[in-house]
Amino acid sequence: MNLYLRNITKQYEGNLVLNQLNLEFKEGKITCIMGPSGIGKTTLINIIMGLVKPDYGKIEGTEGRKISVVFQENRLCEGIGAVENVKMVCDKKVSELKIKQEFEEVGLLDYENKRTLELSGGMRRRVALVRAVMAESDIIIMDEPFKGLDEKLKGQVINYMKRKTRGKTLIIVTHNKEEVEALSADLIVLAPHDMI
Amino acid sequence: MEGFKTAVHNKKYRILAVFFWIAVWQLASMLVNKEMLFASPFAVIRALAGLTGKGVFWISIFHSFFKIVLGFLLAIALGILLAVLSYGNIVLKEIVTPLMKTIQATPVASFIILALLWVRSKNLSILCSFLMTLPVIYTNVLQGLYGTDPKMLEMAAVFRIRRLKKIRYIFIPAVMPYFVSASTVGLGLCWKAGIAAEVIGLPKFSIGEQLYEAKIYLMTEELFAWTMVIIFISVISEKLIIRLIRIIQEGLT
Repeated sequence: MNLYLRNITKQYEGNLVLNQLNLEFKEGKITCIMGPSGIGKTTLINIIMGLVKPDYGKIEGTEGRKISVVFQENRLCEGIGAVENVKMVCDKKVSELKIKQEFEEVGLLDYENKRTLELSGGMRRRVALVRAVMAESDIIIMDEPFKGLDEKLKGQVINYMKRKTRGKTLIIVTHNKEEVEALSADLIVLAPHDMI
Repeated sequence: MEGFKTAVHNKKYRILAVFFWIAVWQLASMLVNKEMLFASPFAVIRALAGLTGKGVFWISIFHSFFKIVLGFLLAIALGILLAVLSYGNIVLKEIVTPLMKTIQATPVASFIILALLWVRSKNLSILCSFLMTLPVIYTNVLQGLYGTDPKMLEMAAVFRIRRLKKIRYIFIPAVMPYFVSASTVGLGLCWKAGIAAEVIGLPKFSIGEQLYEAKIYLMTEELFAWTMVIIFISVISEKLIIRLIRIIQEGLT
C-alpha cells in the first residue's frame, strides 16, 4: 500500500513549518526528500513515524506497518557493542553471526564487538544503517543516512541498502542529488511555497 | 605509562597526607597532654589492639554492620520501586515527593527519639538508616529517570523495543550515575544515623553501646578506637557496595 500524507499542517510556537502538505510515497520504492534547511524535512519524517502529531491532516498507509529508521544523530546505545545495538531491534531468530555478516558488507569487520562509544562517526553511521535494515519493517525512514561517509564507502553502503531493502518503502532525506541518482529514487523537493 | 605514573604519584601523596594528619593528631595530643581528653595515636592503636582480642568487639561490629546495611538495602529497594512508580504516575509522584522532602528535612535525633516509641531499640538502627537513605535514593533515581534521553526513548518507540530491553539498555545506563552517587551519600548517612541511633537506644552488642560505655567510663582511647573502626567499616562498605553495583551493572548491560 502506498503511503499518503493529506493536508499535513504543523506549526511550532506560531511558526508554520508544514502547510497543507500532500504527498505520496509508492510502496516498495525509494523516495528521496530534498529541500533547504529548516523547510520541515525532519518534522515531516517525524510525523510519518508518529513521533510528532500534525496540527491538521492525516497519514494513510502506516497503520499496522512496521517502521525502522536511521536518525540524523544515530541514536545508538553507546555503552554496548555494535552487534548488541542491532540485535536489540531484530527478531529473536536473527543470529549474531548474521549481524556480523551484515557488518562485513558495509566494511565494519573487526569492529562489531567494540562499544559504539569507541567507534568513529562513520562507523556509528553504518551501525545505525545496518540496524534500520535488519529491523523487521515495511517502511524505512532515513535522515541523511550517508552523512560522514567517504565516496567509496557511500557507494558500498548504497549498494548494500538497495540489495537488502528490496520491496520495502524507503523514505530518505538528503541534500545530495547524486545520492538520489545512485539510489535510482523518486524525488520530492520541498519548496518554500509549502511554507508561509 | 603516563597514567600509571600519575596513579603512583597520587597514591604516594595520599599516603603522605595520612601520615601528615597522624603527625598533627600526635602533636595535638602532646599539646593537650591529657590522654583522657585527647588520646594519642599510639594510645588508640594500643586500645584497638586490645579490643580486637575481645569477642564482644567482633559481635558488636557484626550486629551493627548487619542492621545498618539491612536498613540501607531496604531503602534502596523501596527507593527504586517508588521512583519507578512515581516516574510512571504523576499523581503518585506528587503524593510521595512531600513525604520524602519531610523525611529529608527531619533531624536524625528527632527520628531516633520518635522511633524509640515505635520500635524496639535493637531494630532502631535498621529504621534510622533506612529513613536516612530512602529519600536520597528516591530523589536521585527519579532524577535519573527524568534525565533519560528522550531521543533514545523515541528510538525505542519507533523500533518497538520491548520493555525489558528498554530498561536494560536505555533506562539503567541513564539512572546508574545518579544511583551510584546516591548510594555513596546514602551509605555515609546510614552509618552516621545508625550509630547515633545505637548510642541513644543502646541495643545489646552494638557499636553504639560500646561507644557509649567508653564515654561513660572515660575510656577516651577506646572511644577514639571505636570511631576509627566506624570510619573504616563505613569506607569499606562503601567500596563493597559500589563494586557490587558495578558488577550488577556489567551483568545487566
